[in-house]
Amino acid sequence: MIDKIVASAREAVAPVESGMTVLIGGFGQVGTPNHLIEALCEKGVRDLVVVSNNAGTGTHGLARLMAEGRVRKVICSYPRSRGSVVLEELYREGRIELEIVPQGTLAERLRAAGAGIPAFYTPTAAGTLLAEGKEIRGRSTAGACVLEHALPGDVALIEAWEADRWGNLTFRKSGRNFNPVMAMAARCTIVQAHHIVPLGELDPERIVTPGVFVDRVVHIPYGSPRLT
Amino acid sequence: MGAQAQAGAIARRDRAAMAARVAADIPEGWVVNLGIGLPTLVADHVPPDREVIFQSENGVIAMGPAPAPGEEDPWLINAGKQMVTLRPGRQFRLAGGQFRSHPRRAA
Repeated sequence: MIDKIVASAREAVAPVESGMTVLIGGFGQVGTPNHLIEALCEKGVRDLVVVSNNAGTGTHGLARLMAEGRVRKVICSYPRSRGSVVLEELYREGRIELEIVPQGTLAERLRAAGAGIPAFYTPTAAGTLLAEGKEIRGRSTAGACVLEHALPGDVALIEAWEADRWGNLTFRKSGRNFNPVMAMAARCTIVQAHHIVPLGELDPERIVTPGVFVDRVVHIPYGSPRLT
Repeated sequence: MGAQAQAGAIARRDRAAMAARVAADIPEGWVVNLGIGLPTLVADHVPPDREVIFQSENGVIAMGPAPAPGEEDPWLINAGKQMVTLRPGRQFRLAGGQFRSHPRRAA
């Protein structure tokens, strides 16, 4: 029997080791797998490279992981938000590396990783600091394209709305965001889900992420996201 | 060339008035991305009978205006992480997946 359900967030993050690249879903605090991130803090891994749209706010979740000195580098599209104090302090002190990726390029680098595409060209960032050191094709300013590489993860931390024991997933409203694309882009995908449903109960037309991309699922019914 | 330039003076507008001015320029049938910050207010100022499809970079297509008090849904946010509503025809895409790569010619 295929059963990817595990009993605790601690058990779910067992495959994560120091030095890994960790893809973390979410946009702001919606669709963000905060319980898995907190479990990473408890586990005590270090030297992580984190890929996330935002770079944490407040003092919990990703902000806590960074504050505890467990993150070597953040790759994100929008690091500064209201309350992103931990990142700003670490960055000022030179204690964390930051790679800024334009948001569409971030989504496409992740998608490419999941689809087995090693690299692609995009006009985004051509002629800017973000293109320095990268191959450029096309001579005119308008036609110049930047070579961007796929961004695979060792693990992905995902928040889903419903999951079954095969790891088939649905998402809730804007909680979908980067979660499906990250679930496909990592060698090991770990999910916290609000609802666990019996296999066969999810309408096949509603399943967004097939279970073939998922390795572990833990049931975390915490309610609604805290936006502040 | 807008009315302001013709008048030779720039009227002072608050945030809501700027958003309303932009909303007035958006024709029926357009697909419009609302980025973080002031642009997210534009959805509040398009008349409900004018069909404009607002998309948000976090993956929401067919956003409506801000919710009425008591109808807020923390699962439904825009690019600025503010709560929004949906219009009929709504969809959720992966973030970045809803962007259209090339401008399409206006009909």
